[in-house]
Amino acid sequence: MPAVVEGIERAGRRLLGAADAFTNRLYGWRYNPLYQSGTIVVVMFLALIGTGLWLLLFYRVGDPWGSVSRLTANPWIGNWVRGLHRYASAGAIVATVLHALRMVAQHRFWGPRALAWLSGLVLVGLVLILGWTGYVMVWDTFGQRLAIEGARFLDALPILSEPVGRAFTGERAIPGAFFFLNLFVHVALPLGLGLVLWVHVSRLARPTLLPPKRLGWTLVGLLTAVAILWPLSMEPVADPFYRPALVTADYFYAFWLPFSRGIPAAYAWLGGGLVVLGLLLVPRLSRGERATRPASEVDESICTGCWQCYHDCPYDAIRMLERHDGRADVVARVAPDLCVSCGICAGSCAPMGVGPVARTGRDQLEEVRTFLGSPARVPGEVVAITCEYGALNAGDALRAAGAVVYPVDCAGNLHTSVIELAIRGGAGGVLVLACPPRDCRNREGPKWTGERIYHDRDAELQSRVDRRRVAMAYAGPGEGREAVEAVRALKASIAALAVPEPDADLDLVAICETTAAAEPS
Amino acid sequence: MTKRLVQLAGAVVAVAATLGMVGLSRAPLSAYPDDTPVLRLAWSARPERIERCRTLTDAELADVPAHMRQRVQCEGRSASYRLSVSVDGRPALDTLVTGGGARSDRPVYVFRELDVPAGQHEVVVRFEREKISEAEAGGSVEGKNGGVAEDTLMAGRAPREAEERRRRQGEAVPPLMELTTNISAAVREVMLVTYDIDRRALVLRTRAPSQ
Repeated sequence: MPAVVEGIERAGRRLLGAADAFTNRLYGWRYNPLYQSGTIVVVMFLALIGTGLWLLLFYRVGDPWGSVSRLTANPWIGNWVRGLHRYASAGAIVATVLHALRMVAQHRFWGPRALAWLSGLVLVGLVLILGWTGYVMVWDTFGQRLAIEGARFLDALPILSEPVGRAFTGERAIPGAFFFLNLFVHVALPLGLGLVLWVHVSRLARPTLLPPKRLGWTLVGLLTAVAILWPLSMEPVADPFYRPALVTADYFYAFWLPFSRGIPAAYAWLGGGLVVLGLLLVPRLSRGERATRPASEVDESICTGCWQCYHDCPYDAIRMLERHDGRADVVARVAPDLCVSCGICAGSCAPMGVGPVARTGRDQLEEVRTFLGSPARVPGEVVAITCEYGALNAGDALRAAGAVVYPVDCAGNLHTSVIELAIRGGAGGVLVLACPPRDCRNREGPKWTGERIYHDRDAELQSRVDRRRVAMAYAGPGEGREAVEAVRALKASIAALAVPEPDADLDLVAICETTAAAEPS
Repeated sequence: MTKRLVQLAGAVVAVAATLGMVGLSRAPLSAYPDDTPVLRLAWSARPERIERCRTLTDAELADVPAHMRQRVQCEGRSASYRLSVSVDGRPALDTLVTGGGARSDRPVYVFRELDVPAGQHEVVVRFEREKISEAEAGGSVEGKNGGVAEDTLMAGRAPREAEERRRRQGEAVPPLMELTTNISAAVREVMLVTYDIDRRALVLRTRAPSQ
């Protein structure tokens, strides 16, 4: 089973990589809707609340189809609002699926992230129920079909004293209480959604809930334009004495209907249950080697209590505790149950005293020293530091462009001393190829790395490093061309510079410790 | 590509994706692939109680807490029914229907949909209580005073209990209901046979009651 999940992950990565690269070219990474899938769901949710409150003013439980029909007939204040409500609900599903696919492809659902995965599944379930109640509210032929099929499933469970399906047989008028209850659920569920959304992001520091304004308004504007230009029409009123051949359906909420129709409810429950169980077990089935990576640790003898790792951790996994050895007021401590081993703290610590085991700044320096010591290294060449999930895919193209590829787990946990050591070790230039910021599997890696290189965020790239030899660019897994262009640009800019002399006696660890100790904590 | 071309391509892709999504949210779906008319049998009714009743002795009543005393105690079960349907004299359904719930003591709920060919047909629907054994056919016993003092709690109790049993019996579905009717079944039409509680009989409905 893990092999199946790994296969899905690989396929998802390839698919997403190509799609991301395409949309990046069209809109740029900042406004790439594929990177913003999670926040787009929130925008759609807000659009649904806004339009839903308006529609609620006109809905009558005593005359559901009639009231919606009157609203739909009104082109000024009714039809397009209803259209936007409907299309935003479809947009929420599309964005949710993309969001889930990205999480699976980037392996972002095990360990402490499992809570987000599980709460995400609950959110999906609630959204589907919301959609079901929303379409039943209209009580047209599509709503009736959904209601009858839903009732068939409910009646298969031995929990109700009287079958729900009895309401739709035509032996009596549908009680108003049914539509009132349906409306109540439709209105009350969003409150539950808000609560589960809070749980969904509860393990994130600085959760991003909204996309860039321009993107959010563009999407809402597009849906509004379509709602105006392609007005909704009413389906015939539900009639228990007639079985229509076709209904106009929303496949995002009725995708299950063609599968469930005609099979016994018990089998439908069984099939649905297996699907849900499989999704629930995804974090367990696909833990793999990465799930066993150790959490970060703090070397308290080195920690200066500067709070930087606390500020940079994207998962709120670091606490600052009082210390009593007279060296500083506080010391960092990692909560292993919250740490996803992203290693971003390793890049944030000037004296290199925190990070996952074997991936601290000191370990990174050892690795790069070995790398630079290889006889294959030629002074003056460009070293392309590439993210494992990003531009490393284009490794061959980068080598063909004349760069030496130095893979890292994430640009965010790259300690800037590695860059300095590479240049002092004879590299003509260092290009940090990070994933586009909204695509970082560790959430904030490129952001912090950029600030460390260009804006003196701790642990900053020291001023003694020749900035002409350092560049940073964003390239996702499908953006080999952009990565190669960045290599060429750096090569062109350092072409006029002299080939640096390797500095053999450099002890960067000692320099970093001295520098950190000298800075106020 | 020039910047303007990229922007144009971006707009085209955005509009196409939006239209694709909107199209999927209002696309035709086959709701009922089969266009055969349907004879729907749907009703809910209280089954008859098959029970033996006896009047409790004074000693037995004295053993029961005062608020739980009933002069006549009945034990038994809910009746089960045989539902059969024939269309143009050919059997279309023959099944046993029991009350709902784990002990089958809840109302019976009938829901069956039978395909019938389009056109004119004679339909006979029969809903008949299953035969009762000799042992069960003891009938009820009208409550009598039984010599117990008509104290405050028991005052007028016997007639009230009898009335309650009669009322329950009256609410139960009759032991035999039969509907013989001619139908004209149109394509995709649903014809409903249901139980009219006021007439205590099966009836045919072919159009929706007003909501």
